[in-house]
Amino acid sequence: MSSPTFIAAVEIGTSKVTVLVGEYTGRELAIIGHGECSSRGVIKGAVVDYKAASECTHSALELAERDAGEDIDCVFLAQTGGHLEGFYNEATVNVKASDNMIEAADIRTVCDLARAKQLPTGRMVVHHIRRPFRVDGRLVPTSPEHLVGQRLDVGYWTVHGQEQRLADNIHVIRGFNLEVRELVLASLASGHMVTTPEERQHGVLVLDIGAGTTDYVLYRDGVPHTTGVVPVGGTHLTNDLSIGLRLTEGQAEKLKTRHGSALVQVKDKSEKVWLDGNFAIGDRQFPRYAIEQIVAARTWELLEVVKKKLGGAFAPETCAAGVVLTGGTAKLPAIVECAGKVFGTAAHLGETPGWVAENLRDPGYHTALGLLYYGVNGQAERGVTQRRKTGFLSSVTRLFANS
Amino acid sequence: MTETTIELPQTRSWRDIPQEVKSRAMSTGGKKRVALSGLRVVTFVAIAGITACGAWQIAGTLRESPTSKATVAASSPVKHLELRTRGVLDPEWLRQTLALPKNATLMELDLAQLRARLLVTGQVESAEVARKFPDTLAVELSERLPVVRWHTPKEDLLVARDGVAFAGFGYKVTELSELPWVEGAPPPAPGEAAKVSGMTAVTDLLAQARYNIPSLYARWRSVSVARLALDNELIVNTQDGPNLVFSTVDPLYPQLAKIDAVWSKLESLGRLAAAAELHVNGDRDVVMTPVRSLNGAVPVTAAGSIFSIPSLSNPQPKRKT
Repeated sequence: MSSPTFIAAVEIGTSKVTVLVGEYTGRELAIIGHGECSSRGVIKGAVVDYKAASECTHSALELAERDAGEDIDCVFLAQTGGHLEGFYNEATVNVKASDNMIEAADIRTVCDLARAKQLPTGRMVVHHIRRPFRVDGRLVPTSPEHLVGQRLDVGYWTVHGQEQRLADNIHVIRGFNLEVRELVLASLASGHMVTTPEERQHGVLVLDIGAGTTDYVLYRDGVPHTTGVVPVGGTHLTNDLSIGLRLTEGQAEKLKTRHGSALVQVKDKSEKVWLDGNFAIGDRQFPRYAIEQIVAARTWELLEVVKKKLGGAFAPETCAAGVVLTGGTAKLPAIVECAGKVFGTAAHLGETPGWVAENLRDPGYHTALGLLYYGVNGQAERGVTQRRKTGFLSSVTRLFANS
Repeated sequence: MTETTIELPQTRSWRDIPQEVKSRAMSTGGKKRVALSGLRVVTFVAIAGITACGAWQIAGTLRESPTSKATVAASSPVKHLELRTRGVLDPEWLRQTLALPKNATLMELDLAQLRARLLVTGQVESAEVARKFPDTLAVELSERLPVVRWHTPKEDLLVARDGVAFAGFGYKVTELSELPWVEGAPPPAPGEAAKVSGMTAVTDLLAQARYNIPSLYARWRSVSVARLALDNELIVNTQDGPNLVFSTVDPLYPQLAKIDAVWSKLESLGRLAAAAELHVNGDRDVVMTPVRSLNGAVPVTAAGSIFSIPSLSNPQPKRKT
């Protein structure tokens, strides 16, 4: 039996840093450790204070290692931020063989052509997401090798980001003497976790509404069709409340959590709620209507921005499985109904699979969970998973490799 | 047909970002991990070095001082001696020969030395000594069998087929009295192992005689090897008759047959006492040398007698049933 690899899924978010440690045996993945720490030095998913971000990330990593009781071998890192962008590029080749049978070389050529697009200076590819092949316009969900046709088309959705921002994230992890094995778009990780293959086949939009950013991914034909990041999240709702009601951020956050709603639901406009509810000095009353109105307006606006960014890619008809909401802010009351109204389709809250432990069933952990599974699956598909080898020589090599 | 090559633009991936960071960019936890990794390497190298040194030391100690094995294996003192042999040597002889130190443990014993001690006794042809844990020393012997007795100025010895002479522990006197003596061999030089050369021929002669002419063999007292080297002859001294001279070059069986026939003839004629020597060679007849009188005259009756035994061209020796 092969010795397991201990993989850490790290999400450096705006509100918290989450680390999950998975024990990967080559066939199975088991979550054995969990570490969490309040985030500092991160705004809208980007590291703005290296030292503060490093400290909180390393604290979470230490907690997770202690919880797992094992040393982490490598890291799968979630990537988000407003700097991430995507574009679609398509390529077509004529099948070379005289009998029009598609060969591996044709597939390789068309894929290379579709991926080869010059990026602006300072931009780096994070993901090349392939859409299904088409042979003479006919959709082929798997490999078109040995099929007969004259023309082979393929398209790639390429996600790219700013080099410095990507490097900052990686260096935060490397500062703990750990290697970043995979960099995964946060929306792909959480989308993989909260949707089923059937939903992805029918078309589904996943919105991961975090504290600083809202990541989205639209699935069609079983694969990610469009991804994107809107640098607006739960903290913006808090910020709006703070400005509108003249509160500190802490107080506004408390009000949002207790009384916020994505739709105005209050019947009595004069109903008031206490800030703390303990009648202590400084405890004040605020109209519930005002709170809901501010939160609902900003939430609606946020969802509208996402819809606008999706543009023609999203249509209720091509998104039969509807909208799935996840992320910490998805816990906001009535946000599901709000999303349903904005996108004109059914919406529901992303559900955590039954096998996940009770303490990790919060929507805030979907990205980290998805990171582990998406990362492991991706590596397994590429066949480059480097399992920890057994034997004396391998142990010695690993010992020196860590130094 | 020419194939055109398209130069595709190179896109940079996040994997092109160098992951290494300088020490000052590391947090305390990161530095601690690096230090721990270094320490792990140093510890590994140190442990590997110590293990190698230790193994080398132990190997050296065991090679030089076998008594140290006792410390390594911690065996118990030898309580039993197990002897396996097809000969006559007994455990008491073994105990005396080995002379093991009191309370010696199995691992303290030098088996090679003990084996050498056993092989000093000529009676032992080969020996195997082995430890049987927890407290038994097992010895397996292969003994030499005596063929003749040898009277030397110092003591009487037994001689085996390979010529090695030995004292002969454990044999009964009655068993040994049946063995003929060997004569004419030079006495053993001081400090050298006693050995009789030409014993293969002697053994063959005795073995064939004992099997084919047992009644005549019973009268044989000794075999002389004095003329073996020069004349290829063995001289057998009999109890109450003439000496018998055998050639080692010719086949023994016809010689024994002729001698047996002549001996019977002489005995029936009552002339056995008149013969001093019966000399037989493969193709020749048996030549009888008569007994010389006290004044040197040869008795008329026996002088120059040559026994022609045509009927013995294909002789059948008498066998004891």
